[in-house]
Amino acid sequence: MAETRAHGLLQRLARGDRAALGELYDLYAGMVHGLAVRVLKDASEAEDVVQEVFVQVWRQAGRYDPLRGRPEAWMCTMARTRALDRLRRRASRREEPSEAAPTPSHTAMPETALAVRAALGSLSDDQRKALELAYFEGLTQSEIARRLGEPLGTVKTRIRLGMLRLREALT
Amino acid sequence: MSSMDRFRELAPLAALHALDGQDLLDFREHLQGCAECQAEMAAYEEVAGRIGASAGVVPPPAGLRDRVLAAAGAAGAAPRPTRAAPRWWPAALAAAAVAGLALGVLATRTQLERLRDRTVSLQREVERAQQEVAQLQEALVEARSVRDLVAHPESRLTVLAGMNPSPAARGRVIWNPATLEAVLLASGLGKAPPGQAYEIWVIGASKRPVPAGVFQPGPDGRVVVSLPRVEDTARPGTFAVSIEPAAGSAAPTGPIVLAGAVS
Repeated sequence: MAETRAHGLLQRLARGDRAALGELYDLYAGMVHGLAVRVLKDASEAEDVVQEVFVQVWRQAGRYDPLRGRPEAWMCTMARTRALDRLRRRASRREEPSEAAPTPSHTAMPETALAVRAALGSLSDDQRKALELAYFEGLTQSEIARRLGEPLGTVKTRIRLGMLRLREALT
Repeated sequence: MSSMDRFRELAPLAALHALDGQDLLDFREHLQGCAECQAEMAAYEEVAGRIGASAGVVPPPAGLRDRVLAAAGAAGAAPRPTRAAPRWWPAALAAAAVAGLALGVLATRTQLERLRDRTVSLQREVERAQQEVAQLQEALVEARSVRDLVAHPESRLTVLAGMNPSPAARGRVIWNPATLEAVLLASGLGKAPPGQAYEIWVIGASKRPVPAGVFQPGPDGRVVVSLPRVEDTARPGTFAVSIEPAAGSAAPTGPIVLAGAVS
């Protein structure tokens, strides 16, 4: 349901209808913020990411192609990219998160997000761990192998099988 | 394992941007020409995108909504997609030429000759128009790839400042760590000295500048250059441009003209 509504809002945005941005914000700001908080663990940086993502959505709504994916996947990709950028910048300055971040709520999650959580829950712990290091910490396959002290081939297989499982569960 | 199996297995890792080293380079090169892997990649990118929603909902603070709407207001209107050049144009001119011939049957001899001349000149116009369309289409392919890069949700922008000896030079690099595509847009560049050219450098984690193309600016000092895919574009630290021998150098030897650190 939220998805159909989001498509309509994105079409209105593409026509330059500013009011639609507020409605889209109400629908997805909690999700975008939740992702940014999870990656950055810093309240003020996570807010900046939310602002950047919605300004980007406003600018690029005309380019959103509903055939290529769900609006929440599109927005999560933007949020993840920007949050990981900040994480790497912070790492290069050897900074720690400055403000304690609020804890996410899993009860207010929309149905599609619950489906993703359930699918992640069905993976083995090893698969989920490797996938989450790649997604939320932005580590590459070799970095994950070093972090876990596992052979590279093992890590690649875990990520591949985990993604395959998610794909089957979600499509 | 066949090479196709190998690439199919790399697609889910690529969608998470978890590839590195030789796997990353091989996959990117293969992806260009493989529709099957492009489809696999798109499907896994969608799966990856949805992982983000599992992080849970954290309601943002009350004042943020107004700040976001104000920031979008300041950002101006969303750019509209551009239209492709009309393909029917040469056909319309050809039809006009044929119509001219048909009329000729009803006309007197002198009129006929005049119409024949007219047909010949119309045919030349059609040929010219077709050449123009071909050139426009070439330019469009280039413009579209730049546009797609600009529109990609993961593309980043790095501003390059003019250094001595070209303090007036300005540059921007739009780059995508996922696809390793990058484009340099620069202005205020003087003509390179005889036998020399400008060369682009990507400096990544290895701290060793990787050559990323040689170019000459246009007569107005402007240039748009697509960089080749290099692995360091996945995590660049600095983009720079220096003056080098026209054939390009393996490592920078001449003065740095433009440089910008990735923020």
